[in-house]
Amino acid sequence: MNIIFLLIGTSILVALAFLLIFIWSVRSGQYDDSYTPAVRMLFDEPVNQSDTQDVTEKPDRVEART
Amino acid sequence: MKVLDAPPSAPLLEADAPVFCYHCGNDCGGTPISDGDKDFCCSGCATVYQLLHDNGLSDFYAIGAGQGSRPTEQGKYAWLDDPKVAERLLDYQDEQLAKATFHLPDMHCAACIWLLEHLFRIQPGISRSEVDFPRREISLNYDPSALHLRQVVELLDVLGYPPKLTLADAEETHQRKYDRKRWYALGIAGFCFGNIMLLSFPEYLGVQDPRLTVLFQWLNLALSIPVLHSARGWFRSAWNGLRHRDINMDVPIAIGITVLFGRSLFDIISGAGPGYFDSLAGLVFFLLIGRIYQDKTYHLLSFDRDYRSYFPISVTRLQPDQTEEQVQIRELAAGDRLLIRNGELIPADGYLVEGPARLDYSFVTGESDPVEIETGAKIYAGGRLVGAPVEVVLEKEVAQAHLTKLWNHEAFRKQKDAEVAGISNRVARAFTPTIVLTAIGAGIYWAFVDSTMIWNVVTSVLIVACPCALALSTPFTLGHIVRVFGKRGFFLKSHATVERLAKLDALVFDKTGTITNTQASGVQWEGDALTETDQAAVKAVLRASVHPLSRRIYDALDVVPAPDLVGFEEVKGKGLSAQVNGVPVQLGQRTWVGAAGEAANGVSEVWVRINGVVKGRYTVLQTVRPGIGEAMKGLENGYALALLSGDQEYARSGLGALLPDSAPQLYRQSPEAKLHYIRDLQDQDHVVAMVGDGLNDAGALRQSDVGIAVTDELAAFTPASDGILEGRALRFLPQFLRLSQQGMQLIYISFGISFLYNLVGLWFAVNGLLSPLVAAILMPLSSVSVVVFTTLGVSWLAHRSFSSTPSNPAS
Repeated sequence: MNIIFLLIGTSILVALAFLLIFIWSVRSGQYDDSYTPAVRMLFDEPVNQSDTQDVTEKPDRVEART
Repeated sequence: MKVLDAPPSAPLLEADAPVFCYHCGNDCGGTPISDGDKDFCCSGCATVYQLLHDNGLSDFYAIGAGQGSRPTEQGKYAWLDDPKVAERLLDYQDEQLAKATFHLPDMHCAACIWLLEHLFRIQPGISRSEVDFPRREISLNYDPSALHLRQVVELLDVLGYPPKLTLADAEETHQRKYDRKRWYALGIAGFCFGNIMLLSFPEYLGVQDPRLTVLFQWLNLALSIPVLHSARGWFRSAWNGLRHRDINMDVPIAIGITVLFGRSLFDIISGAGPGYFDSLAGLVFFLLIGRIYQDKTYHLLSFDRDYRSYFPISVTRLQPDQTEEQVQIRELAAGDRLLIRNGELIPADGYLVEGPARLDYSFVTGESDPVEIETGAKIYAGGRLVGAPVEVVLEKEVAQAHLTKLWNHEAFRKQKDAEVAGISNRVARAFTPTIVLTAIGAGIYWAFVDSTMIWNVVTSVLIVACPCALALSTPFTLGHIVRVFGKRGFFLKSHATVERLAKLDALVFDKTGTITNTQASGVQWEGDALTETDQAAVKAVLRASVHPLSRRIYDALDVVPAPDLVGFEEVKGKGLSAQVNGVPVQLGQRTWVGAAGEAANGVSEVWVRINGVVKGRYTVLQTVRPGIGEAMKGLENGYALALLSGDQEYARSGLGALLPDSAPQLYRQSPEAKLHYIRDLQDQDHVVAMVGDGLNDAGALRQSDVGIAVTDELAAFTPASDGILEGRALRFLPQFLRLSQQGMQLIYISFGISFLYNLVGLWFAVNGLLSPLVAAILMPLSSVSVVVFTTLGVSWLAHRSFSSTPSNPAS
């Protein structure tokens, strides 16, 4: 029966991890604009382009808060 | 939105098949510009194609063929060189990095998003561009040492996405536009709710292991503390209400949450039981969902615009030595001499020193014909210049202008939503004292029967009376109605507007742009097809004329006017004549151009003769919006109707039949007069809605109980209002109003249902039988059934009231 304490602790930790992931997703703006990213993901990026990096680069959230 | 021109329905020879522009998809007319196998309707589209092609962005056309935005006449952006202007427009700036956000009303499709997010391929100085499509916004990062703000804006303009830059953009502080707090609150409450349910299971199943139950109880207690934090909005609102000696719906909720928590805490500490933490977390979780559901926001729309969204950021000032400089509107002072060009706005009151001028005040006064002003006469802010440039000396600052003073009226200082207590708050006023009295009564009863039960019974009554179903029925019903309206072209600022809509008994309409259609859809061409050169020539002649018909056709022609116009002559009642690039062009009545046949009846027509050949005619149809007559008939019973117009009396023709004879029709109404008319109606205990469109209605919209702004283009300027109605949906106004009334009836029924649940719960509570298990079943059951009832009810009502109408604008 003692195993249940371990299981409870694990389950809450796992749930907590999901909560933190949720909070991160809100912080990173995923709940702001729910339309554009759905369209953006359908665009094909040209291969072997040196500047592909710029597109996939995540916007800088630290500066966005200034 | 770009609407593709439908191919002509008349049978055509193969050779005459219309050529569609490769960039924007419009019919190219007679002379397409060809580049290899691609055809373009104008040089602007060809330029954009060339630009994209040269930068390896031809994929644009693979995503959306013929979806490009057609570049129009290029704006002038020299004023953006002023560092002070740039500073106001930029979100952030340092040596290497500048960030800016622009509103681009012309973006309309997936290909636009793709193109705008690949700007860095055209202009390497741009390091990042990200589109927020629902808001039609682009946020850019660029290198200010390599690129000026003006170049960025000009690039967007060349591509066919001119940024909307108004005084409001420059004055607004850039703040976060999305509310993330409610998502955090919902996430945390959901996490706690799920875990508390899980940890309460042994209790539900009757597990009797003391080690387990005690641990789980304390874990539940720990998990419910973040829930209280998520629910702080209700505590704050209840406290604000009580401080103003008012009981709102949040008071019984706050009492319920407090008692739930207090009773549970007591039970755990005293070892009496597991407490009601599952009910507590579930309640807060459902309430948060309701709050998110009711606050439907339309990101594209703004309900709080004032004149600043209409004014430019800067204008051209003439210095004493006649050199021009760009100066910000805010810095203008009395005595400044301004140069106003065609299409530009008069920013403040003043005198005309170099004229004469033709000013279009349609957006300010509602008067559709431009007014002629002689040199030396006084001119008022808000007019748009039509024709040759003029010089103006300002008499007042911008903030002191006749137009802007309207916004200093007291009507703009009150908060409409706070004024009228919503239906749920009125119920709460009766409900809360009843519950408190019931709890006290039950306590007194048990004091005589069994005094150990007092605490149990009193808290149980307060817990079970917590009006969760009651509190959920309003947000879900109203939130759902707001969504149903939105689908059909009626966008409400808040859910509270629905309640006010249901109470209306008087409707006041503006004429120009509201009942009549200012868009060019009524203009049709009959005759030989005109080439683009011909159209440009016709447009050039029309530009010089201020006749209302000329203006309508001018607006309908989608070409750039030809530049070279000489010998312009306007004969009143006959027509126009001029030479464009040496070719004589005549426009006007049938006899003026020498066409054969009888004069037409009932249709306004403008015949066209180019180089001595009669080409055909433009017909300008009666432009009352379709379906208005029926809508007015639907509103006749039950609503007092009235029409206010800034127009002259003669514009009455054709409108008389629309409104019942009893409805007053007032003309030449100033913005203040409209406002006062609304207030007089309100003083007679009418609940009034104003339906208007322009700045001249701004005061009336604000004063009315529900101000509805009508617009044909959602991205365009609308004055501050409670709701924005698409022009094509105006005919459905009777249905919207009826649905709002039926929605309120639904709320009353759902109140009845939740009272039934409360009675059942009260029976358990006063008898001291409310175990945590009963509460955990009763609360979600009542909430879910009420929510299901109201949402299905609204969907059914909406289906019934809109399916009987012949055409649905949403389809």
